[in-house]
Parts: sequence; C-alpha cells; structure tokens
Amino acid sequence: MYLWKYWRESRITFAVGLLLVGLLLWGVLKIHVTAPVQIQAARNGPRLNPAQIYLALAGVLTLPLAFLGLRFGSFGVGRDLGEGSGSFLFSRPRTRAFFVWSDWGYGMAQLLLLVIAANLVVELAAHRIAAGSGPIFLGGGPVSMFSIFCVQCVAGLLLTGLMFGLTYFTSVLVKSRGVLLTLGVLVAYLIGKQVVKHYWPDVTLPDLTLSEFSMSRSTIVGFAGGLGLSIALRAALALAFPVAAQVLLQQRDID
Amino acid sequence: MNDLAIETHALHKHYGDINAVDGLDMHVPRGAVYGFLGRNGAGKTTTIRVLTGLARATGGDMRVLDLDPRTDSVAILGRTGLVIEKMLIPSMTGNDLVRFNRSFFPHWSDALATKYAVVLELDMKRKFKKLSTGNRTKLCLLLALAQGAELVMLDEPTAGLDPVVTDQLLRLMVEDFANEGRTLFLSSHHLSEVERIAEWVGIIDHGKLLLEARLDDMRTSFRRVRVVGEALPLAVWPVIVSANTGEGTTEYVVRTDADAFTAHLESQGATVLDVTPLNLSEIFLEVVGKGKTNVSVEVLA
Repeated sequence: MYLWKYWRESRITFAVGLLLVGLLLWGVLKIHVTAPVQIQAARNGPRLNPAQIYLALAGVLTLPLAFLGLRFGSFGVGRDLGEGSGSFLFSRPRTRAFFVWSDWGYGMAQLLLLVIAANLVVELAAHRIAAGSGPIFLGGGPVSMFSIFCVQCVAGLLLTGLMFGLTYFTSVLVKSRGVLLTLGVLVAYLIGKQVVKHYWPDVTLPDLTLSEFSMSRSTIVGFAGGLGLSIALRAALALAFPVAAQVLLQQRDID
Repeated sequence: MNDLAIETHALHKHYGDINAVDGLDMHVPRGAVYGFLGRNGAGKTTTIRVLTGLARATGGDMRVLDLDPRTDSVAILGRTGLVIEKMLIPSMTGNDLVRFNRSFFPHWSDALATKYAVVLELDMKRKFKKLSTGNRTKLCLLLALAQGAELVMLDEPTAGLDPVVTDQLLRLMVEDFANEGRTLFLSSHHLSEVERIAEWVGIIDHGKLLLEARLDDMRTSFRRVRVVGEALPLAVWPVIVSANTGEGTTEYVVRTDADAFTAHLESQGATVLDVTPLNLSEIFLEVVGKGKTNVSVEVLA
C-alpha cells in the first residue's frame, strides 16, 4: 500500500512523461505521412546513417528525461518531510530503509518504462527516416540498432537515476528546497566542467550522459573502452544518493 | 510480561544546550489511562518522540511494551497508535488515509474507523489539506484509535476541538479503553479533560517528572491547610509542597499526611482554620506553577 502512495504522488508526472513520448511518436508518424517528399529527397541525397539519426534524436531526449528524474526524486519521503507529514509517515511500523527503497524502486521502475518507451520511438524514427539506407555504420564499422538502443536505454536510466537519487537526497536533506538544491548542484557541475576544460584542456570531467561512448562502435559492440566501468561508476553514484538519504534518515530525528 | 506499558529511567534528550528531557523517570501501568501533564515546552512531545523512536534519546533507559525504542521502534509502532503532529498526507482524503493506514496495522478495525467518523462528524471524502484544524485533529485521532493498538499515545488530542466533540471523544475513549487492557497515554495541559478520564497522572516540568501518582491518591492526599499562629515551621516539614504567609494566616499545601501535619502545627500553638482537598488543576499549579518543591515520586505511587 505504501507504493500506492508513491503512485498517487507521481502519477501526473508519469502521465506527462507518457504524453511526451506519445507526442514524439505522433510527430514521427506525422512526419512520415505529411512529409514523404522531403524524406524521399533526403533518402535520395547523401547517404543517411540511422545510427547518427538515432543518437541525434536521443540527445534531444536528455533534458526531458533529466527533468522527469528530478521530478520523481522530489516525491516520497522528502515530500512528506517538506509538507510536515514526516512524523505521521515515520510512525507507520516500517524501517526508514523500507520507505527509501520503496520510493526508489517504484520511481525507477516508472522511469525505466519511460526511458524504454522514448528510445523505442526514437529507434522507430531512425528506421523510418533512414529506411533502406543499407547496413548501419558507426565509427567505421557495422553495428546493430539493438546495440545502440541498449546503450541509450542504459544511458537514459543512469541519467534519470542520477537525477532521481540526487533530488531524493537533497529533498531529505533540505526538505522542500531539494529541487532547487539539485538544480544548483547541476549548474555548479556544468560550470565547473567548463572551467576545468578551459584551464586544464587535458582533463575532462564525465558527461552526465554516456555520450562520449555513444559514437564509438567498438565500445557499443564490445562494451570495451571503459564503457562497462563507466556504467558501473555512474550506477554506483546514482545509488549512492538513496543510500545517503537512508543513512541520513536513520541518523536524524523526525520533526 | 512487565506490568508497565512504558518505563523510563534517567531518560535524557538534549538539543545542544537545551535539556528537553532531563532525567525522566516514568512508569505507565499497562491498561491504565495515564495523563501526562506539563506546561508548553515542558518536554511532553519530546518524550513521546523519543519513546516511539522518532527522536533518539541522548541517554538513559526506556522500555515501551517491553521493547527498547532504540532498537525495536518498528515493533513498538506496530502495536502503538500515535498522534503527535496533526499533519497527515495533505493530498489524501479521509478515506484514502484509512486505506493507506489499514495496510500497516494487522489489528486495524474498519468498524471502529466508521464509528469514529460518525461520532466525530468527519467528512471522509474531503482532502486533508482542505479540512479545518479541528477536523484535522479528529482525523488524526480516528487513524490512531482505529488501529486497535495495545498502547495509544496522544499528544494534545483535544487541541482545536470544540467542547461538544471533546466531550464525545472523551466518552468514546473511556468506553473503548475501559477494561480492555489497553493503555492510553494522554499528554495535555487541559487538566479538566485529563481529570475526567485519567487513572494515573504524571506531571512534567523542564524535562523532569515532578509527580507521578494515581489520580485518586492525589485527590485524597493533597490538602490545603490554613492556619493562624506565630513562628510557624515554614517549609521544614517534609510533606510541604508550598507555604504562603499573608495577613496573619499561613496557607500550606501538603502532599500527604495532612492529619499529622495539622497535629504538629497545633502542637506548635497554631490554630488550624481549615483543611481542604485540592483538585487536579490546583495540584498542578502547586507542583509546577510555583515550582518551589519537587515532589518525590515514591510518596504517592
């Protein structure tokens, strides 16, 4: 029944996410129906690469997915603490870990659905725009769209998971100001990244997505070139925030 | 099984330099209605928070239903109905909250929930955030009382309720708790309400329990003694709670042994004008309001 509470809080955001995916799908279908001439012209022109089309479209999804992750992270325990119902919630006979991981599990399950749905639409778009363009090449060699799809789903899940976890933690930390703190952290990171790039050109701070791997055929095909390690580190970072939220809740008094 | 539903020994809870609970020794018998009285900021709410695991004790020992809140708070909460902050999940209606709450408590009673909703005149279809303060309190009480819990801890349960609803609520609590072996722990500073239903009373001030006793014992033991005389033994008798002199008379409040005390005064040449009993409000004011003497717990318990 606790999951029902999280569902009640997050259902509008989930519906908005599905609506966005639906609009994307509608747009994909509409382009193919209403602009067949343009698409045909594109196909007759320089050769289209479905992989690059996929990655370009997937890049557009980064911001909405990050926003969804942030919104989902603001629900659950942090919201209750912000609204003053923390004493009520935490006087239900469950451990504080139960509340944290129920929120996290249910929120991430919804985000996983949205990420997969969005990527399916993007793959459909890539197929329809570049249909019949022959084998898919990336980085000088053939790849399967399924490989790209998988990496993009993982990238999307890690991005949303990071945003979810960070916002969840900040909402527990500073209650209703958690979303603002998360945005502050993100802006600070993006600025810091540019500062580092400017003063130390050889040093590159990690991208919030897995974009540095997306264009590499070898990493996608064989999980080589540090992709596996990168995924593991990002997953650990994304998980560190709910763990920190749990520890914080267990250590502090509920007021 | 311990005869006490709640037991604390030298319980401390500090917030920085503030001693919210300062060496609290409390004994709440199982099956009793226990009124936990104190002024604002006396440490009542903090005590309840510590006893239910919502806040961590700084020191001391405590047992709630034979369990330690530091390690067994989930088990305690499963057997305890609690009203502390009158704030539930704002976007849920009363019916939603019943649905949500029911799943956590194996002894939840829909029949009790319905009964309380009717008696308390609650609109269960209205969202919590749209309820008035009084109706919010009522809904909190409904959720705590319908759990069928062994122990119910209510912090200022009648705050914001009108007199009619307060009266109904008190009647219901007495009906539901009398002879059922369930313990009702009621924190309040509405003395008349506590006096109406409580069997035991604990008076807390500045984080310390100043008095703990059966209410009946308090009524039969505490006496106000008014005397006329010279050179009276002010505040030397061990049972004296307070002594006030003015216009030729001295007024003593003693916590016990009023007969022996008056005999002693008369042996000193004093004339006893009258000896009158005190109600709970007067006892509370003597013990807390004037704050001159801490009454030892053992005397009346």
